[in-house]
Amino acid sequence: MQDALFLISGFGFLLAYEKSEETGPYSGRGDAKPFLIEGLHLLWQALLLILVYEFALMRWVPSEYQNETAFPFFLSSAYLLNRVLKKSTSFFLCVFGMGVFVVINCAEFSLWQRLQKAGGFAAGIVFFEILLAGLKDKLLFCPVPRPLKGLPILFVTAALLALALRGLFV
Amino acid sequence: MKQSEEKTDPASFLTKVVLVALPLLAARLHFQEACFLGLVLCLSFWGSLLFFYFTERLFPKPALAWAVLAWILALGEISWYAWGFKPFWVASLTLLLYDEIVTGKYLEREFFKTYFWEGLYAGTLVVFLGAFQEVSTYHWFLQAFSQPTGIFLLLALAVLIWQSQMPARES
Repeated sequence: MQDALFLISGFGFLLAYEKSEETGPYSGRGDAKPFLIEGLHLLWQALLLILVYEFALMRWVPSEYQNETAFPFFLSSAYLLNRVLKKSTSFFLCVFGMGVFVVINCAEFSLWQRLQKAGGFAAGIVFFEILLAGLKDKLLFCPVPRPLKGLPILFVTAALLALALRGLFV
Repeated sequence: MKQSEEKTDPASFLTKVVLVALPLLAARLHFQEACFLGLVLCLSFWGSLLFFYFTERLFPKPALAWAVLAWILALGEISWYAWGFKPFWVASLTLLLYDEIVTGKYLEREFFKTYFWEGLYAGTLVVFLGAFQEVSTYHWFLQAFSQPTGIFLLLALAVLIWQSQMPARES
């Protein structure tokens, strides 16, 4: 649970940080659409990787080597998918991290439970990303003390968000 | 931002180093593990740059990105088999390394002016986060610092300290 929270907040922050540099600040309700589309991309990529892993590799690789085989498989497949979709390095890392986490840490779960976890992961990352992007826009117009401007106040905001998310699950 | 400005801009330099610490949030580390991982990250970053500096001509241009990926993959596998590290640390290495090599930026920049310090700061930050997590969680019993909340606050503190000394640096 805690590891999942780490990954969701970390990768959500990375994506939100990168996107704001590409497209400018988040400005209004209508702009949530690209984030949701990105979430769908994230979800179907993760599902695709898990399904291929489950139905192809698990049958050919002996069980004691399955965890180790997951690493090159997820890294290269995530890269290949992102080459086709022209996504950023952070997005590729996000898919790779999700895949590795869902397979390694949840080895005892069934396929259906893994798929559910992947869905929860994607939804969590996009939720964190939208929250952070919206808050970043608001922070532009807030009277923030000068030394805290930029990255420090964004990290403080991310910390408060992570605390709020943590509070939901305690 | 122009190339010359980018070279000397300490804020962008710090941003990159701080973002490198984020994927490591997934692996909660003890102090000794953090020291070892910091060292591995630092050495693998320098080693990879040197490796591709000398062998870049051997790869056709479209194959270079795949070669970098295979290199990262090999490093991750070796560390997993040899020391049992969960492979999340290669995400940090990818953020540091991938764009620099694929876009060819590393051929234009001076190694000791940029990459030496980038690797060193990234490694030091990992050690610092590991040390603080160990002390705060197991000695001070502050559970918040073993969670994303604490790590984000620590990173905010690190950036704040760095930014506060910038005017002194410029003068």
